[in-house]
Amino acid sequence: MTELNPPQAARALPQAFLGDRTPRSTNRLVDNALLTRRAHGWELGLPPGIEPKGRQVPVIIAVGGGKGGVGKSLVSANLAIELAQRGLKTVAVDLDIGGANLHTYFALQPPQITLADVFVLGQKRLDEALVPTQIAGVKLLAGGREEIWGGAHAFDRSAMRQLFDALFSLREQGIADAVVLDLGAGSSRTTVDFFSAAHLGLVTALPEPTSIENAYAFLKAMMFGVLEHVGERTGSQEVAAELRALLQAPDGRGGQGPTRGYAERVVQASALYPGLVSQLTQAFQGRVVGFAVNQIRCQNDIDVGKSMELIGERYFGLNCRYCGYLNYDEAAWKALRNRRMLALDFPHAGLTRRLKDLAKAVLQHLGFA
Amino acid sequence: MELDKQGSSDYYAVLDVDPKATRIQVREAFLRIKSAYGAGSAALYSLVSEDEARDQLARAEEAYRILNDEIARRDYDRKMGFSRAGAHSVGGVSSTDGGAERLMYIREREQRAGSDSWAPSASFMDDGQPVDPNVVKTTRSTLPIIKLSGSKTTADEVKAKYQAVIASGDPGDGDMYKRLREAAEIPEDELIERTKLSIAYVRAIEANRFDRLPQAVYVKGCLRSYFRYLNVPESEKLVDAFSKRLIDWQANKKS
Repeated sequence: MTELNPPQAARALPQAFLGDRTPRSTNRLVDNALLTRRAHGWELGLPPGIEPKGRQVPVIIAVGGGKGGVGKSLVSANLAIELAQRGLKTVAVDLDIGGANLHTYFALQPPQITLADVFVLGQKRLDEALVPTQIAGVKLLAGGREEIWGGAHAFDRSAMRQLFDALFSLREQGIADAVVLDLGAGSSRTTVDFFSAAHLGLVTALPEPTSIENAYAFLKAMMFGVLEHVGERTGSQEVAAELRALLQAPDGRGGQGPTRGYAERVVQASALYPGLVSQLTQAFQGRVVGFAVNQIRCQNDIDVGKSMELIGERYFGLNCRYCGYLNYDEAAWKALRNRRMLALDFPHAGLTRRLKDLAKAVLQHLGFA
Repeated sequence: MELDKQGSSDYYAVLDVDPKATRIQVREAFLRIKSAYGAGSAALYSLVSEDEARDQLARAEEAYRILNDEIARRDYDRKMGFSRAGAHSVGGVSSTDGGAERLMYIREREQRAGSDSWAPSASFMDDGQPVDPNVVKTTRSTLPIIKLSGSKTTADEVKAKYQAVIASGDPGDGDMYKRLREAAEIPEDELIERTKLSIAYVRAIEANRFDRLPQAVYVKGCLRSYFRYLNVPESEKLVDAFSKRLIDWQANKKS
């Protein structure tokens, strides 16, 4: 499906999506003081190979969170739409390797040219793989079929470097102001690296023990990932490995790792490794871990997000922010069955409104007024 | 000392608030911890053990009891060397962008506590036993409660004054109670702060305004807290005398 031209668009899109809210080129990225202030910390924790120094960088938002079926793709697609509505040209990237289906949330057929063609086969350029969507200002970078990837480990360091190089150049060419990365389920190395590469990583969870457990496992993997990245970037891999062992040491009260959390251990370790701990703290503070609770059915479910924010902050020492919640709403699967985008099929559903609020909170936590 | 016993050794750290935090901020922080670590919190699952959650909750409640009490908090601040100079007197909503500041704050405190943060610190809550004389543990609850009596009430001269005042007055007279309170040099706001009694009822009792008082059973409870704080001997006689007058007055009003 191609981008609708204006007369068609006027019929197809509800009023909320028209008017003066179409994306315009802005300097809001340049003006964003918070991102500038945090840039150093953000760069410290990036996976090696991603080198934003001296380059213009789009706002990177990753949506992950461990478990499958918690609404990562739904949130990614609608987050991209909302960012575009608020004036940021956005590219949604499907990084669910082996299970790519973000295009379905944009009501598109599987695109012909995908990430795999660009980064695995190397036959196409990135700009050829960008698929326009029905929403002006949102482009999709589809994930591609599983057989081309050859397993989840296909996305190695060099492919990652190429991907982020390409994403940075999208910003430099004025094609994208923001990038939304839709990650796959699980806490695999690649997924966690993508998550730690974002300015804001949004953990999507359901108010259920299984999902919460996976979300914490994911955060733990991300925390140790960032530690390793900081070690590599500052040339102190051995110290990072020692610190990792120290953080993981059981405290003799049963169970693995610290009972009271890693944050406290990190603070204690500052006496032994003042330099590394200070850099690690900067890296933690340079990126935001957002929480979104999906499929809420009662007030208690909403509060789960608040509590996860607090516990995430106290236990892991990460910069956690509760961004919002999404109602349990049949509109989600109805829109998918209708093969239409949620925001267009059910523009007034409670879920659609909550998604708008979520996007607003995400932008606020990124420093956009 | 075990590694994990460190780090959160003072009440402000337990609640994750700044020593300059307003009472509203303290309360917000406490409620947040209570809902996160409370029974049945789904967010704890797999990360925090039940024992640990109970421990955290107990520490938070203990900290809240002290920090929510203006006078106990002032004493505590003085003892621990915290200063609230420059604090906002009007309660505000706590800042949400406190992540960096919070970690920095923890680190500064570590440095203040001693250069070697691996060594046992002079923790206020070593072995979980509070040292604060204002806090007592009751047998019923594992949680400490604040001892409810004024600072000077055990002095002999105050006791002598009590005797004189009680001998000279009617045991059911509210104005006499006021004189008792003044003899112990306890201002009205201190009494209200510590006993959490209603200021309206205390004033009504001291002015003998029966029309402003509730049923006698509530007033009895009020008076017991009042006299317990003043440490008045044989206060039950006074309570009975006052409540008898109140009951008579209320019966007359009905008929």
